[in-house]
Amino acid sequence: MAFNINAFANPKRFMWLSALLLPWVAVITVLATAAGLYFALFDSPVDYQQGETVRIMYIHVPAATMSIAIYVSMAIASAMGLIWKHPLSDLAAKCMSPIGAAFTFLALITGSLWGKPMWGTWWVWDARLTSELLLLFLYMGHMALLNAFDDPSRGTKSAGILCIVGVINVPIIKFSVDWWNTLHQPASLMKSGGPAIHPDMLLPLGLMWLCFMGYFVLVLFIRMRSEIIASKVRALRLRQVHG
Amino acid sequence: MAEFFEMGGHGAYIWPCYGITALLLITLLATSVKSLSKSKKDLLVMEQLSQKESKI
Repeated sequence: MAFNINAFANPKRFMWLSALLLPWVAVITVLATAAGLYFALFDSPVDYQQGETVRIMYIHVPAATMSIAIYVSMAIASAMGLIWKHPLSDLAAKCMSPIGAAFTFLALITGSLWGKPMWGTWWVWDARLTSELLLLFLYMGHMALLNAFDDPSRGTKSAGILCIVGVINVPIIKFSVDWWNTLHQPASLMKSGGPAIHPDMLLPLGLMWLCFMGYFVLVLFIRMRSEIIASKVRALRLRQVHG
Repeated sequence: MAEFFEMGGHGAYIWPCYGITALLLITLLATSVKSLSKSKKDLLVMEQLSQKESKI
């Protein structure tokens, strides 16, 4: 059977599928959070150079990964919305934005709290930090544009275009540590030859990533369901006024 | 126990990371759940209204 993405673009089908998946996603998220926090805070070794501050990594790295992954998903959803006019893609992009902004903010703030004891500064205007800050502004611009027009479809279109253009920033964030001199360390996970960190640290890192991923899907489903129901209410109100 | 919270002298940096993350993510989840239950309530009201009208 061919996989047909269009089948999921139907709001009714989405409501059915998301209701089915929500409890499972919630359970996986709660379990991953509990296990992740246990290993991150209690049962993982200290770093030989960074000591206990390595525990910040278990929040910082997954949050930064999510900030980029959500942005790319949002750009794909925006492109699908612009090209095929799927109302659900536009809705998905709209609902992803605040979640992505939250993870971007967390990546920046935890990076700052890690930078102070390790680098001796809260902030430097170098490539990695500046491009991640730009990502936060892109998210904020996306949310602002969505609500900037009286006609919501114009807002959706402008926000979608901003989001797609902003994808240029994604490889800049990813490769900034290789292209420019920076205080930020280069990648130690996603590199050729496999991850260069100890399995005891990889486990809490993976669990916290699963926790954030589950959280993203959970909150996305909740927000999309809420928007779909709200648009149904608007349609009913209109019918009553004109009816 | 106190040693655990000190985190080798870096507790002042590590705990805020976990605290801010928990606070922000829980707030976002709570506001999302709240808006979902409001939408559900609105839908219920509208459906009852339109049912009443169709009876008249």
